[in-house]
Formats: sequence, C-alpha cells, structure tokens
Amino acid sequence: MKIKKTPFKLRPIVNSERRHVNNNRKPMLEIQNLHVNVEDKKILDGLNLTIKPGEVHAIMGPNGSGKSTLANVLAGRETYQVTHGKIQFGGQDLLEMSTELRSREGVFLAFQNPIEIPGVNNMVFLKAALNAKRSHQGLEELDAADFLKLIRQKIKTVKMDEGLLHRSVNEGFSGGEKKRNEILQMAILEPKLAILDETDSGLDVDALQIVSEGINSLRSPDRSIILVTHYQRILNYVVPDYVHILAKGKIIRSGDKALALEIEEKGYGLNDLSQSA
Amino acid sequence: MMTTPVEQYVSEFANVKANLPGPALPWLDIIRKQAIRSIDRNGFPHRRHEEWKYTDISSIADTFFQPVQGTAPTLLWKELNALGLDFTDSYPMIFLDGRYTPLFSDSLKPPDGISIESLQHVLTVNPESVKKHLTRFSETGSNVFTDLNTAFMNDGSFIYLSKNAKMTQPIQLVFVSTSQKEPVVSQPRNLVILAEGAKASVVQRFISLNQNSDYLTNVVTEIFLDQHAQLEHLVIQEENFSTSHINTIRVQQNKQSHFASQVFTFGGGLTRNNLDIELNAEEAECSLDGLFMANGDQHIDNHTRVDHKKPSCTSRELYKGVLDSNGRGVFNGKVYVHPDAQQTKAFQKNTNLLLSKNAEMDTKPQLEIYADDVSCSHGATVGQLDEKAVFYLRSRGLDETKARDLLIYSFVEEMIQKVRFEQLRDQLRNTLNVKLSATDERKEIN
Ligand SMILES: Nc1ncnc2c1ncn2[C@@H]1O[C@H](COP(=O)(O)OP(=O)(O)O)[C@@H](O)[C@H]1O
Ligand SMILES: [Mg+2]
Repeated sequence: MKIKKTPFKLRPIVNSERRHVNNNRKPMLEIQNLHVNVEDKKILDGLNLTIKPGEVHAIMGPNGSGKSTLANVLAGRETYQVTHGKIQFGGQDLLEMSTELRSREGVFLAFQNPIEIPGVNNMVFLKAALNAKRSHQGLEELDAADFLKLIRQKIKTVKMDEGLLHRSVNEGFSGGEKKRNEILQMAILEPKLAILDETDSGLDVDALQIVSEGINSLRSPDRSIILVTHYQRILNYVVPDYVHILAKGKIIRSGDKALALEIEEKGYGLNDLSQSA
Repeated sequence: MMTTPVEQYVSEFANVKANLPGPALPWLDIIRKQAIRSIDRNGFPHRRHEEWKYTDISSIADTFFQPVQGTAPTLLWKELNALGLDFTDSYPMIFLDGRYTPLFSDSLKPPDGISIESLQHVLTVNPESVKKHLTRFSETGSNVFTDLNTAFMNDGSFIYLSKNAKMTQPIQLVFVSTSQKEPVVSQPRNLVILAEGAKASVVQRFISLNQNSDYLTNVVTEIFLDQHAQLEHLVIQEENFSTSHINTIRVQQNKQSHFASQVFTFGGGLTRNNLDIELNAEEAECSLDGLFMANGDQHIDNHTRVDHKKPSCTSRELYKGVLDSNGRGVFNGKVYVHPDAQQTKAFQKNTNLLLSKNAEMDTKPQLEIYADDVSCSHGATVGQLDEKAVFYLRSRGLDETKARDLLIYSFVEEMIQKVRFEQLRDQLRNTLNVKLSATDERKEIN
C-alpha cells in the first residue's frame, strides 16, 4: 500500500516534554521478555520495553506485527495468552491484576477500533467509569450534577459534540467521533499510563490536531504515554521521547523522533514484512 | 385403583357444579359440561403434540390441583402493602387465588359508560351482559387448560367500555396467590369488551404471597375490540419459582382497532403464555412485545399466533429473552396470512441472550402466507453477551458483574421503555434489579 502524504501545516510545538523526564525515577512500566500467543500463534516473541514517568514512547511497525496485541495485553484482554515474561506497572505485577483493577490503578487503552455498545448510554457509562475509579481511590462518588460540570469542561478539550453524550456508547459515531470519545474518557479518568492504539488513523488534519492537543494537555511528569502509530504524522504534534520499531515480535530498533522520519522515508527495511506496511 | 388427575377433575366437577356461579343458567351449564367432557376425552397434551414439543407439562398433568371455589377472604391492608405494589393513578382490582376481594370497592367508581366488575358478581346479578362473548372465542377441545378454566370458571374480571368511552388510568388486575398446603389451581377468567372507539389499558399482575407454595395459575382472558377501539394490555408475572403458570389470552379485532400487548415474565417455575390474535377486519393493527427472563430452573414458553384474516392489517412482534443458569426459554410465534388478507404487513422478531452454558432457548418463528401481495419478515437470534463489549467496559474500571449487568440492561431496557406508565416502568426495573442481583450473588457463591 502506498502512503499518501497529505500536506499539512506544522503547528509550532512547545517542546516541553523533555522537561518532564526524570531519569532517576523508578520505571512506570517495565516489560521483560514478553511472549504472547493468539490462538496458539506466536505474536510477541521476547519483547522488552521500559518506560519512565513523564515519557512518551511511540511504537511503530508493519501491519500485523503485534502492536495491538501488546496494547491489549497491557489492558488485560484474556484472549491473548502470555506464555512467558513479566510486566511491572509502578512496581506491581500487572499480569496478576484484573482488567478493571488495572484501569482503576491508572492503565488506559484507547482502542484502535472502539466498539459500539447499543443501549448503554455514553454519559451513564462515563460516570460509572469515573466513580469506579474514585471509589477505588477512597474518594466520594460524584453525583449527577458534579459529573455534568466535569464532563462539560472536559468535552471542550476534545471539541466533541455534547449530543454524543446522550447517545449509546459509540453507536453510529463516525470514526473521528469514536476516537474523540476515547480521548474524552482518557481526560476524565486521568490515567498514569495511556496506551493510544492508532488513535491517529482515519483522522483528518483538523481532528488529528484536536486529538493531539487532547493528548498533549495530559502530558505531565507523572503520566506516561505509549503512542502506537503507523504514520509519523501524529509525531509532529505529539513529540515522542523515544521511537521503537516493533517487528517479528520484538522491538528491533529504538531511537528518537528522527527514526520515525527515517521509517517514513525508507520503510521498515524488512524484506519479508514490508509488503504489508 | 388409583384415579388419574383427569378423573379427579371430572368427579370434582360433578361435586361442585351446583355451587359454581350461575348454576341456573342453561347456556353456561352447557358450556361447562362441554368443557369437562373435552378434558375427559383429550386429557393433557403430551410432548409429541407439536404445540408442546419443547415444554414438558407432566408435572401439571400428573397432579390433581384442587380448583379454588367460593369467595375470597378479605386481604389485610398490611399484607397487601407488604407486596410493595404501587397503585398511583390506576384502577386496581385485587384477586386472591383467582377470587375478587373488594378492597377498594367503596372508594372507586369507573367513569360513565365503563363497567369494571367481578365476573362472579356479573354471573350472579346480570349474566346477560356477558352471555354473548364469554367463551365465544374459546371453543372447547382446542386447549385443555382453557377447558379446565371454563368448566370451573368461578371469578375474574369483566371490563366493558361502551361506545367512545375512554379510561385513562390503567385498570390493574392483581392476582395474588396465597400460601396453600395442598396443590390448588386458581383460574381467573377475564372478559374485556371495548365497543366502537373505546380506549383502555389493562394490566394483569401475578404475585405470590408465599415464596414456597406450590400451585397452578390457569388464567384465561378473552378480548373483543370493536371498530377503532384501542387497548393496551400488559402482563407482569412475578410468581414464585415453585409454581406453574398458564396464561391464555385470545383477542378478536374489528376494523381499524388497535391492540398493543406487552408480556413480561420474570417468575414462575414453569410458565406457558398463549397469545392468539385474530385480525378480523380491514386495517386492524396489533403489536406484541414480550420480555422473559429465566434463571434457576425456570422454564418460560411464549406461544403467539396472529391470524391476518382480512386485507391491510398490520402486526408487529418483538420478544426478547434472557436465559441464565439452567433457565429454558421457548418462543413459538406464528403469523398466518389468510388468502383474503392482501396488503398484510407482518413483522416478527425474537432475540435471545444466553448467559450460561446450561441455559437453553428453542425458538421457532413461523410465517404461513396464503396471499400474494404482502410485506412480511421474521427472524430469530440466540446470542451471548458480546465479550468485546464486556472487556471495553472493564477496561474503563467497571467490574465484571457491573459490566455484564449494564449490557443485560441495555438488552432489556428497550422493552421497558415501551411501557407507557412510569410507575410500572419503575416497578419492572426494580424486579429486574432484584432478579439480576440474585443471579450475581449466586455466581459469587459458586
Ligand atoms: N483475536 C485474534 N484472533 C486471531 N488472530 C489475531 C487476533 N488478534 C490479532 N491476531 C493476529 O495477531 C497478529 C498481530 O496482530 P495485531 O496485534 O493486531 O497487529 P498490529 O496491531 O501490529 O497491526 C496478526 O497476525 C493478527 O492476524
Ligand atoms: Mg493494530
């Protein structure tokens, strides 16, 4: 497939992310020698990755290389079998934690393809999600009025139509609306570790900018972000500290933003896989 | 030699017939005798019978249930209050084991042109008013349970709206089963007649006073809607899990009449709902909605039949089932389009949610079409909760139980939304909550 390069205006980026990184701090996430099977097919084959608080890591790689597999394993999806390896999240054994516990402790996955849930009201869902987290933290649950105040404020940051709050979760949403709804959820849940799985795919430039602003506004010294992407386009808006190439079940190269540009120019340089990229 | 339950019903009939309401009415006497003869001749249906293929009623057929006779004892207010019923903005009638108990009699009076009476009372003081319609649509021999009800018919409701009469409050018929040591059968009989242009809502509710009594409810309702009449009809069944429940409703509709049925089944160990509608004149419309939830060892069978007999009638049907634990559900919906019924519109759908690997659903939507210019569709699905949706909700911090419950609610809420009366919607949601949390607790124990 040929990647069409759409011309777009580069917005000036306040390059503040480096400031967030403190290399002496304990890792937010530490993945060691991770092996994952899907239906007995080996997808991840000894993956290592360490992320410190405040860092933004971009993960790129050809289609089918296992990026979404990694994202889903981090979120606890049981259809992916971890056959070997360790994942530490803030010093806890992540693989021992249920999906909901991970979420309440601060793991957030923005899905590549957010599912539609007919009949479940978006607002009811968002409130239940936030209150699940708050009660886990020993905080009082927000009542309807307080929640409404909060959501009105957050929804502005992603420029989402308020009408979407009163619809069923993602039902009939456009691709862009689904992605914004994911970012809205992230803004409300304020996770420690956000994994954004191709949140940039299918967005036009305006939407990409809005979503990127949403992501940037969440950058902080205490929050880490994994940005899974196909294209370096989003990296102009959300500048990563590190760029990794995932292929053949492993991180085969790591570098900084320049690596993403190189990939865009030359491809992944993997003869056997480049067809699908 | 052991006598069979059928023989016991026959001899019981001989014993009590002189004490049944309207003993001096020759027309009623004939009907009752035909019915008991039919029971004697046909007995109870076996599973080989196509209509009973998925529902085994041997537990009913093998037991003699003593038909409840006489008049009801007075129910105490505090007993009634304990049931937590809300009669706000409604016209209630309470029945104990099928017999009317005049709890509200002094305080309530229907508007002009409308009569709401106990059937026993009508058969005693004014039998002519029901003679024309009673049992007219329940020919003997077609259903043994209807025959059993007809033979021992003792009480129930008679609702009549004269031309253009409108009843805005729903008429709530509450059938309370009291605790009994011996197996008994309570057999309310209801007759609802709406004259031309009349409009009403009727709710049938079934509840148990005692959680462990073992009884049979065998209720029959006949409904006649004249031209332009509109009736909304709800059934809400929440009896205890050791009971059996047969609910038969037969409807005849005249030109441009409208019938909207909603059948909610949450209770009962073994339940069979029969709903038969005949669209007898042009442009009559009916909608059939149903929601059933079976858990534990509950068995819930919904049989519906719509006969399109004349042109340009519309029927729409949606039944939803939720089956958990060892729950079993049956849906058999037949739409029969007669040769005369051109320009029929008929839509039928049954969707089911299986929540456990031991739950089972047999669904059989049937269309029989003998006219050529029609627009008909039907379909059925049996599925499980979408695991991707469960994961999505859990990934946002909702625990698994909450995630599943939310998805179950989203499946059933559509049916609750269709109920026009807020107090009933609230009560349905309550019942649903209790039922879901009972299931959740059981799961935690297991
Ligand atoms: N649910 C699944 N069932 C079967 N195979 C799957 C499933 N999910 C992913 N795979 C396979 O795992 C491999 C990696 O997929 P994925 O992680 O989605 O890749 P990426 O996100 O990098 O495009 C692919 O070969 C894909 O076909
Ligand atoms: Mg992917």
